[in-house]
Parts: sequence; C-alpha cells; structure tokens
Amino acid sequence: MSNAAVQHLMRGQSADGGWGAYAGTVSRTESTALATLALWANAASGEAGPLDAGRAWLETRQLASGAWPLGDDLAEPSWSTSLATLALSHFAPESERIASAARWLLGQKGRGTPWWGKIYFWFFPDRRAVELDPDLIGWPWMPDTFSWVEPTSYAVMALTRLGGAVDRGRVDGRLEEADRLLLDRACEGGGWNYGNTRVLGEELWPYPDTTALALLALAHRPEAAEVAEGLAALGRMLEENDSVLSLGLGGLAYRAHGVDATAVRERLALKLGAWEGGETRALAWAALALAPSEDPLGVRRA
Amino acid sequence: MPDRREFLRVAAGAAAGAALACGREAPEPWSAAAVRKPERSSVAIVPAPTYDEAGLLEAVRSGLALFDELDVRGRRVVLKPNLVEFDPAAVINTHPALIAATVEAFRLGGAREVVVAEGPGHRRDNEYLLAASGLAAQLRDTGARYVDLNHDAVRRVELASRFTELGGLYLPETVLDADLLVSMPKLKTHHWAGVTLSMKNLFGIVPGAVYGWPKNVLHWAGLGGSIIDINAALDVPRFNIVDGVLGMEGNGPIQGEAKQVGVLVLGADPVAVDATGARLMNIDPWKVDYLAAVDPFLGNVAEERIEQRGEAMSRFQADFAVIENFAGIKATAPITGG
Repeated sequence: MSNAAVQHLMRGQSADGGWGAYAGTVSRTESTALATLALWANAASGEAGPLDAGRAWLETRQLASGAWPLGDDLAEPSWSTSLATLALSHFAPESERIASAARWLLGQKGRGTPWWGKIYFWFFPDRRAVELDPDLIGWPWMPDTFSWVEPTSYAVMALTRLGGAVDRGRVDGRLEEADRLLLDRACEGGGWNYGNTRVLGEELWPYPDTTALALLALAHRPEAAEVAEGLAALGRMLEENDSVLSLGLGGLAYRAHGVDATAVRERLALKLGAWEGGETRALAWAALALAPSEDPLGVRRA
Repeated sequence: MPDRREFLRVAAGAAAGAALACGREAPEPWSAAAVRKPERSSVAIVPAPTYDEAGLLEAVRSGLALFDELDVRGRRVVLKPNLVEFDPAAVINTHPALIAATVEAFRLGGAREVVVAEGPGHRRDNEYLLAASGLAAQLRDTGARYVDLNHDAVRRVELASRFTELGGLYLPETVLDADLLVSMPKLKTHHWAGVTLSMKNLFGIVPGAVYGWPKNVLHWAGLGGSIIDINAALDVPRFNIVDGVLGMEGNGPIQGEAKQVGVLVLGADPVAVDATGARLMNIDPWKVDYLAAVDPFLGNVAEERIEQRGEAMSRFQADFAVIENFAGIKATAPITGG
C-alpha cells in the first residue's frame, strides 16, 4: 500500500499530467519533477498512470537549450532544470535528453565578486557585509546571479547521477567546488539557511529544509565536521518544527547519513493523516522520505 | 557591498551623462506611466496601543473612515502583509491580529473578497512560517484565502522607471489583477535601505520561484532602485496600513529590537505614508535615498503636501535607533508634523 503522501499527490495532479506548486494551480517544473520522482520511488505501489503522465509532462517541456522553464507560464530556462534532470535520470540516464540538460547545468555558474568589488574590498576589507567566500562558485537561482545553498544542492544531486554522456572531469570539478561552497556556508552553530552565515556581524540561524538539502548534497562527506554539526542542528530544529516539508526533507537527510529516521517518519505519517492541503513539493519530499528504498533519490556516491 | 545609493545615482547619472554627451537635457529615469504624484496626499495616524483584536478592528475602521474616497464595495482587496521570517523573540512581521482586523474591516466595508497574499523572502517553508507566526490561525478564524505569491501565476511587467537595469519583472497575477492592493508593512528600520515601510514591503510580491530566496537579484540590481522600480511599475489602485503598534529599531528588518509606538498609519499614497512613517521614527525622509528620489513623480514626501488626518504625529513620535551606516538619516531638528 502506498504512503499517504503518494495518495495526496495523485489527487493533486493536474489534467495536463503536471503538478502545480499547490493543487489546482498552473503546472510547474519543480513540483512536477519532485512529484514524478516521488511516484517513481514508490512505484511498487503501482501508480504507473500518474507517473507516466508526470514523466511525459517533463519530457515535453524541455527547451532546445536542454534546460526546463519554470512552468507553462514562463518560458525562460530555470533553476528547476536540476530537479527535472534528477527525476528523468531515473528513466533514461544515458539519453541525449539528460546529456543536454547536464551541459546546460554545467554552463550555469553563480556570480562571484566583480572586479570593482574586489578592488573596493581590497581597500575597505571591513566593509564586507557578509562573512563568506563569495568567489566559491555553485549554482544560482537565476543565470548570472549569486550562488545559494538550495539551487547548488539541487544541481549537485542531479549531476551526481550522470553517467558517461558528459565530460566527467568537468562534472567532478564543479561538484568539488560545490562541496567547498556548501561547507563554507554552514551556520556557526551548525546547519544551513539559504546561504548566508553572518550579515553585518550578526549571526544568522539555520532552517531545517535548507539544512536537509545541504546534507543530501553532502551525503558523501560524512567525515566533514559541518555535516555532523548540521545533523545535530537538524535534530534540534525538528524538535520545534513539524511542517511536512521539514519532516520530509529531514527524514531523507537522516536516511542519507545512516541516522535512524523512524521517529521522524512516524511524525510525518501522523501529519499526513491530517493533511488539509499545502505545497506539492512538501508532499513529494514526504513521499520520498517514506519510500521503501534506503536511497530514494539515488544520489549516494560510491 | 556599496549598494545603498549607487543605482539611484548610476541610473540617473548614466542618463544624464549620455544626454549631456549628446548636447541635450537629461531625460528623467521614469516614463509618463510612472507619474502618479498627487497635488496633495492624505495620511492618517490612528492610535492602536495593543494588539487586542477588538481594539484593532475599531482602529482600522476608524482609520479607513477618514478616507471618504476609499470605496471597496464589490471589490477584490488583496492585503500584502510583511511576513518574511520568524523568531519568537523578535517583532519581525505584521501582526496577524492586525491582518485579521483589516480583513474584517474591508468585509464590513462591502469588499467582495479579501485575500491575504505574501511571498516570504527568506524561508520557503510556508506551512511553518504561517503556523509559527500565528497567521495560519487567524486565516482559519477569518476564513480569508491565502495566496503564496512566491508560486502564483505570473505575467511580465515592463518597468515604468529605470532606477535599475532590470527592464521588466515577472509579477504575480493575484497582485496585478487586484481591485485594491493594500501594503501592510511593519514600522521598521532596515540595515540596507534605512527604513522599510509600504514601498519596501512590496519586495514580497516578487516571486521567489522566479527570482529565488533571498530575492537577491533585487539587491544586486540596487536595493533603492528596485524599491522604486517595483512601486512605479504597479498600475494597481493602492492603499497602505502600517503596523506601528510595535515597531522595530536598530538592525532591522530581522534582528532589530522592538519599539512601542502604538499607532497605525494609513493612506493611499505610499510615498506620503512612508515619509510619515519615517518622521514617526524621527528619521528625515529626505535623507532616505529612495524616498527622496520618488518625490518628483510617484508621491509626496514634503510635509506641506501631506494632509495629516487623525491624531497629531507629535503625540506618538519615537526616536528609533539606526545602525551606524545610517546615522546620517536621523532628523537633526525636531519634526513637527501633524
């Protein structure tokens, strides 16, 4: 029997085969990719029809550049390409579709400090408002903007799954720098927020969802102190935060790092039993956390 | 990063430089579509000493009653509060009780529908943010529909001013199609912009799904310039209600300290409302770059062009602390408005 999140997801699927950010809203790539991935990870439950429709929605929206748009209401390439790639890589990992998506992703780079900024901060180092290394390059939300934790984590998960159809050396180089970026952006007491540790000298606090995403992207780095601190911070945050999104992503991150997620999954099941509507992506992450596989995203590295 | 003043000046300066090089007068960095400055504006200050729900409803209703021209009968009103983060120890957000009171006040005024809409700029976890802030409970009690502007359907809007190089923005249809958009900011100082009020609050309408979290594109484009360009682009009937019951001073908009003021500030002209809000905080609005820059076309900053309704400002004026970078925006002489 499929988990409750899958049932809610299937009820929220749009007639066009996609999913909106909320049930009944315009279909978007992020929610469709995550819902499709969630159905795939729970495929033993026999949801072939909705799964096929979700996959078809994604396949027909890929742009000639290899990227995916945000949704049908916005045609420009978007950060959600990572999630579409991650989802479709489970069906045809060696396909040209995935290779072209990967090439687009590899072409996306966060923006570092501009030359005039480097000169300015060379003269006035004390005026730097944030305490992070701005020249570590990951992935931005929009082309040619700053690198942040969430889009970087998505891109890492997508590129981790690529086979031999792309330049492996280039992929490994980007993944290695993304590791350093994520470790650099960890909050002082552990965990991650959107990607800033301090602003104007004030310490910022972590969030459970972004902490879990960073931990998923760093699943191959169990030895890193930031990972251990992040797992501890996630545990503290989940004591006070019982949103479906936080529990779902938190449960997934625990499983990726071999931490017992039984209690989190039980709380999640309870929450889903009382579900009154909300974000599709929260449901999808919950469905993935409750999936039978130990690595439902398929992003563990050897 | 030197971003506080640059784009206001770069945009105007670049246009002026290019024009001078061509031997003609510099064009203004806004088009006719952005010109909405009235001859005079009205701003009301209404006492609201606490977040007691009955008292707030009365305060909002009495404030709205000072604006005969505001007729919401049969209209769809979109309330845009400031809900950006949550910290149990801080007063970051527009208080949910004020949002609920405003929903009720507009319903009693005959509005066809009152929607609450926000696109939080830091946290993506809406379920958590709504529950922790107390807004979820108020939405349940009032039955008001909530729209997550970060994920709303969008349309591209060409900007009517050029204080940034953004050119256009994708904006949510819930906002663009509103019969009346009500900006409901918190009375706060801001560590990048000086003050955050009705105008800055509209950063929350910029959809995160398109521009990300935080909405850093706007910071890179120039914070002050982005505030201006977003406000100048919105060809939607506007009203503004500032939560000045408890404001935030110092390192706002997230990590500042609570400051009791005990008022609501209301008005249709966001520039005049924000200028009045700044004066309430003992901040000179002419020294807040983005406010001074919009006075020629978008709304009124000058006290003599703002008709004060309700209570006298002097009764509530509070000396808000600002961070060192913004020490220069404090009023150097007593502000006597109202």
